[in-house]
Amino acid sequence: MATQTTYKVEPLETYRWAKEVRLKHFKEVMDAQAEGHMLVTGNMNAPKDLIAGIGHYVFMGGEPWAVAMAREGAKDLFLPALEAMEKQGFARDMCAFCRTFSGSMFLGQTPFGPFPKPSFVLGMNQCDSKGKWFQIVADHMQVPYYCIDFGLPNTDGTLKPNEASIKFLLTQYHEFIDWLKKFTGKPYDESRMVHALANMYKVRCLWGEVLQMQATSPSPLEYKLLLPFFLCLEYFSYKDEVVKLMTALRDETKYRVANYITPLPNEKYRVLHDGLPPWYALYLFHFLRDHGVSVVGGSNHTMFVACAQKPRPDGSFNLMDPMDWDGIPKTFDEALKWRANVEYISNMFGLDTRVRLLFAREAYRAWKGNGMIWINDRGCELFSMGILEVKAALQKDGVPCMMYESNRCDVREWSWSQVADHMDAFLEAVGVPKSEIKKDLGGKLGEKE
Amino acid sequence: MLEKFEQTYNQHHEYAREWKARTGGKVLGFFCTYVPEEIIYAAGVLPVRIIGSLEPQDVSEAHIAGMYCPFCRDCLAQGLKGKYDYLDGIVMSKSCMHMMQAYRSWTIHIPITFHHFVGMPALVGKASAGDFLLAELTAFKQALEKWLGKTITNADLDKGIEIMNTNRHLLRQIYDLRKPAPPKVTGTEATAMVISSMLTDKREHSQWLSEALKQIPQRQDGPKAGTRLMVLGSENHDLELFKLIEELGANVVIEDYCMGSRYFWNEAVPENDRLKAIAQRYINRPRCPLKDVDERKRYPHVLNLVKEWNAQGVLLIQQKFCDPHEFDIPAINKFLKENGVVTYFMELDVTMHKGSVRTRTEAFLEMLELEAV
Ligand code: SF4
Ligand code: SF4
Repeated sequence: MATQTTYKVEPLETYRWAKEVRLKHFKEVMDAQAEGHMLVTGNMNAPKDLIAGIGHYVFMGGEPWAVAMAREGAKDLFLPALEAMEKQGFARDMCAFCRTFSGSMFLGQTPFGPFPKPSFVLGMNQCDSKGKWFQIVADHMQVPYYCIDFGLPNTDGTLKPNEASIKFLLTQYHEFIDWLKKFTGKPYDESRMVHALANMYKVRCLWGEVLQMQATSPSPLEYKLLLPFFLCLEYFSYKDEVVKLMTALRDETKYRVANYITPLPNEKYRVLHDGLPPWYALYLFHFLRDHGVSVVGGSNHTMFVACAQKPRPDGSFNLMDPMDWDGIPKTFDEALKWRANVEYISNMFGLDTRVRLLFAREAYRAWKGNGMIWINDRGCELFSMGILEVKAALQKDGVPCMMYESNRCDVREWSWSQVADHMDAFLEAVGVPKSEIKKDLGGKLGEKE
Repeated sequence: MLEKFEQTYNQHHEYAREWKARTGGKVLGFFCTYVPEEIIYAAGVLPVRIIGSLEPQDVSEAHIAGMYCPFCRDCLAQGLKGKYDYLDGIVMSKSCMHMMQAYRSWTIHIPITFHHFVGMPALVGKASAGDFLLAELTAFKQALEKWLGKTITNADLDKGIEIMNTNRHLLRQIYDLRKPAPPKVTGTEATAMVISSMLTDKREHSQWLSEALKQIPQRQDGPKAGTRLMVLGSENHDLELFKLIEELGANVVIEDYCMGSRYFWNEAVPENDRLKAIAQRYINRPRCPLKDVDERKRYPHVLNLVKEWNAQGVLLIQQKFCDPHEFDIPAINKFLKENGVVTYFMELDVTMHKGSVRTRTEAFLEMLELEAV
């Protein structure tokens, strides 16, 4: 059993900044048309950064807007949006991000105002839902839909790049840029695009450094604190402001490590949470904190670690190998090639159980875990794919494991009592003495955070 | 003769075992109809589709999350229970994530000497999709060569293409016999022919089809004229379901799913680069929802089938938890209705009792009768 030590707790200054960036983004989307900016909607990994070549644009990402519905719109929009989808004839077990976002579109409402009409829809076809989801959006909005396909190739289960798959992505990027020029009638400034991609690169370097520091005990940050950064990383990392934000996060994390500052006064156990959290029930993480359990990372982090690390030539992967700062893309071709590689790696993480296992083992080892939690998300095939196999393999390795079934973006599928059923045994396996395990959420149930 | 197809389907494991004993050849199981069987035949191996038993099972639960479809769980269960112990290997092409999970778990838990994943683009309309698929087919051919220790020549590929094309061509002729009123073959019989073709040596199967094509025009026991239905939707290989629908007086005259017309609809058009010809065949085949992501090409194809086979109504069947079809059904339903086609939606679980299907089909047939008045 770990010994009790009390660490210094200080709020993370950059956390507030990240939340501001998030809120500012929602406002930007609402104001885009009035301010004469092109608004584009699409999914998380759509190559929105390539749009930078034609000038200023605003990207409304489906997933963060679904999260906003689950949080900011929780009171009066979240359930009506889910029900609006069902009224359209869509099944209740479909991707909950899709149902929440598209339901909001059918209602014509978002938590920040009327659902805006985009100029076009940009998708990246990865899981079974992403491509089809934005087809629904484009149909309803009656705007053009441009979708890029990730060609999942045959591989040996490592991260060795597959030439044909990367070439397929590259060709499509070029085709998209040609289409964009025609669609907007605007010239394409390659240097703007290279700048956007160089920002993405820098943000990933910084993120890699931050995640490396998470290996420190006590951990300077934890899962819940990282969530708004994760959003910035994935959606706006092409922006100068996000480079600044991530630089500040890296520096603040360094300071925290040097001064033993942590989010938990009593970090005794370190666990990983794989899958995205139930956004309407983040108090789950407070419950863990109350037991001295720090959630140091998870698959969303590892996934982006994938984008922040350099796989070794043999396709293996080490969490402690960050990207080289001197590799920042400088030319149009370098930028596109780098983007295709990042796309390739992050897709392999989700779509190949073997790669997923590689990551889970590596993250557990590098972040010095004492246990691993999975959300078996009924509303997301991608994040649930392979998790039973990964869990079984880690269990065989002797890792304390817990899996709870829920739905990150459909509150109707959340049951604390079901989660709690698994929690007792898990916390005990992690090392929490039986007598210290709390039975309830300590009054947090129903609270927003 | 016509019973032969259903019999073989019912005893497909016995058939494959017997084929192995008779020929000494290898058998590869495949999970999705986007697997290029041409190359497998060219390698001198028998491809058989992996299907479920349509029975409830409890062995897949430890491997596949609960929100995956019953079909993929049923398929994996057959492997875990040893029903496919005669397979020398398995092949998967990129289809839905449900099936990909069944494939991946199979490779982890069931001993086999060969497994291969063939990348298949989803946005088949992209100019570069063919190049990507060609690279994947080349890798597949090389993997087979390595496994078998022999070279697959152009002549072998020609043979593979010819075996597949002949069977496709004959099945199209059978489907034409469903156009008249009454149709010359029932939906149950036609479906048994398609499914059995996935489970047998196509050279033999084509002989049976040729024989059937000679006999059918003379048959006296053909179906009686009834309400003409199209069936559309997720995977379905439950002949009992067709029997049940047809016992109610309907004629299932056409369908669009991977156990039916989509499997054999188009042929590979020969060209110098054989693998390219095969790649183009899969790029151009009628699309499943997951391959209909950019421009919706599936809808006009479906409407065309409704018209050509003169279907009075469309039964939209959807396997429980089948995301690809869940995404498409509301839109295709709307599209068909806008085009004056009467539709009826039915959710299915292939491993569960079909009692309610009868009641629901009756309701739909009554609806169609009222429409006719
Ligand atoms: S990854 Fe999951 S949540 Fe995201 S679009 Fe795909 S199914 Fe939906
Ligand atoms: S029924 Fe649907 S989800 Fe299941 S394997 Fe077929 S396409 Fe995939």
